[in-house]
Amino acid sequence: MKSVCATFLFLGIVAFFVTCTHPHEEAPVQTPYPLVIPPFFPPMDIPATNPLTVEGVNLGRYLFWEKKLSGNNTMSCGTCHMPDHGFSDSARYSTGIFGDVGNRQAMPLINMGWSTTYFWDGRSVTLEQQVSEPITNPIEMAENWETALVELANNPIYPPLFYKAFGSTEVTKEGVVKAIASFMRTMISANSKFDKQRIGQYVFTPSEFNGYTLFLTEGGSPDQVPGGSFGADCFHCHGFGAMQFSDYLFHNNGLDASFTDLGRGAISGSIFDNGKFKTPTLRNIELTGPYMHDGRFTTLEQVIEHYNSGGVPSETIDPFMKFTTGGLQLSEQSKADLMAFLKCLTDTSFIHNPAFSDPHE
Amino acid sequence: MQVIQSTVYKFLVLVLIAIVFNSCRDQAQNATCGQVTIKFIPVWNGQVVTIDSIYTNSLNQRIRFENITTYFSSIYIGNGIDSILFSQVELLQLLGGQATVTKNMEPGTYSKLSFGLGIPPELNKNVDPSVYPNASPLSVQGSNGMFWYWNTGYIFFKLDGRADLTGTSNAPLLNTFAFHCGDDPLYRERAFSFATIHSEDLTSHEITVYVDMQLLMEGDNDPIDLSTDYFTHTTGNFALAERVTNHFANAFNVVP
Repeated sequence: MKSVCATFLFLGIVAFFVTCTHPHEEAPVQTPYPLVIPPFFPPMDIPATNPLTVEGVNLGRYLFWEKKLSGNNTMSCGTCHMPDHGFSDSARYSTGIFGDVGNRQAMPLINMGWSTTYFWDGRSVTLEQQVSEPITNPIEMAENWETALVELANNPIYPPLFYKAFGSTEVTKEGVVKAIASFMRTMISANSKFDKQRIGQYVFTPSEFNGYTLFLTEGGSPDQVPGGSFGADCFHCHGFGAMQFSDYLFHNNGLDASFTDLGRGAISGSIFDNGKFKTPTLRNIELTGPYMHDGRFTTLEQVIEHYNSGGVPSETIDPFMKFTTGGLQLSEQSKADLMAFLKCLTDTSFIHNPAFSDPHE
Repeated sequence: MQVIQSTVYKFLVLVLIAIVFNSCRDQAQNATCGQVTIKFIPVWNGQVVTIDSIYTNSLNQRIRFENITTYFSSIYIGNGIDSILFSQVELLQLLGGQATVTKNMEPGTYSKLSFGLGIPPELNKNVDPSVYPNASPLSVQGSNGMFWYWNTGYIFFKLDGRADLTGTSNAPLLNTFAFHCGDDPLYRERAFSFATIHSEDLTSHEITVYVDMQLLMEGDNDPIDLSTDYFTHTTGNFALAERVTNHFANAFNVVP
């Protein structure tokens, strides 16, 4: 027992001296990020392993716009996720560093902190997973992590930023991913006319209000659709209970009779998910064209016309589509009113927010 | 030095005693609990319903179920004298065999089960779902598309699928049906008895609740004709929503 006691005492003395010999080398303090949840928004789940800090978000902003994360140092995340386009790509398909073209439209990065899955097929279930994929994707940024980390470590701005964010100057993949994910969680859009209307700071015009009503009304003719009320039927998938205008589920909205891109089906392995894609948010929809998972529609008018037509039948088409009953049968005025409401979801303060701009410029 | 050694020695002995005592207490606490699982299984003609099977109703319409998402609330189990709240609210996908709710229960004798189909009126309307933590089935995210912000509160259940109305054996199922029902008048309560179970030390018990999908689609000689009655979001077609809800509420049974 004497030896046990002596060991304890020895360890205590060592600990005391170790603590006292480096009083000047204090670990950097990470400042909790003052995330403001907008009115009527639900809470945002932030992983305990990646707490939101001012320093982490700042580092993430630099990395989001960092071209050294691509194989030939020409592309950053922001190359395809352009602010003026609601942080999506203006091109139908994004082009990678070697000129390779993908087969899906880059999704807008809006209120990602509330999403439950990522990518059109939902293959990532955390923002951290999502962040890492484009960097190494051979048809996108085509970088390997070893090279990227060396390049970042050799850039004098990064080791100090990593130190502030994570307490170490070491540049790590985990740190890169966490920081970009943190930055993306702060990319919140909640200042549209719709949001202002919700808090009593804006009154819809008659046309916008009609569009809002159509948005929330069952579609189709009552003669052909039980409960049909000649509405636009948008709310089923693009509801705003979560204020995101997306149910974050997967639907086949009747684009094709057969599928060259299986969408969710390729991830779940279920034939019943073939042709289904994640419901995108409608926030900033005016800016995020081209539309659909493959960017086939260049204008919002084409999108509205697609739903108005009822879509194309297939084995997995969503029950909400009115393909058998003549579509929504919206009048020209109704289409115009719906368009007016959709434009109420535009938030220019979001896309011009200097906190999301390129810090390298 | 002797005094210090003696003090440290006593301290270590106390720590050891505390560790041993706490370990025993935890074990004793666990030993007082039994585990009870309630399992919901959809069946058609006695066979478990699966997403890749096609069923034929009495109108010769071929049906595939793709979604049976349901809220259950106020789930109690008891013995006719006392009842214990098993769960306040659960959101379950009945297809796929994973619709289970498991809780640790105090020792006791249980033979009664009751639950509500849907969300009780006091939780259904005039409640902002954003106040719930995201893990709650009543939250915006946890409700997983089962909240009607704009209208009638929560969707009590979604029954979606596809049908072939021609009755031809190999015809594709190109017609769809969607019954999304939920409103205060549609809240239904059911109660059942089952063979007495004794929830005791470290034992587990399972109560199986069957959902007769044939009864849901056909009622008591009241088949839902999917050529005309294939779609309701409650408002606009409340009569169909009420009819489907009543069929659903009557489709549950627990093997005694």
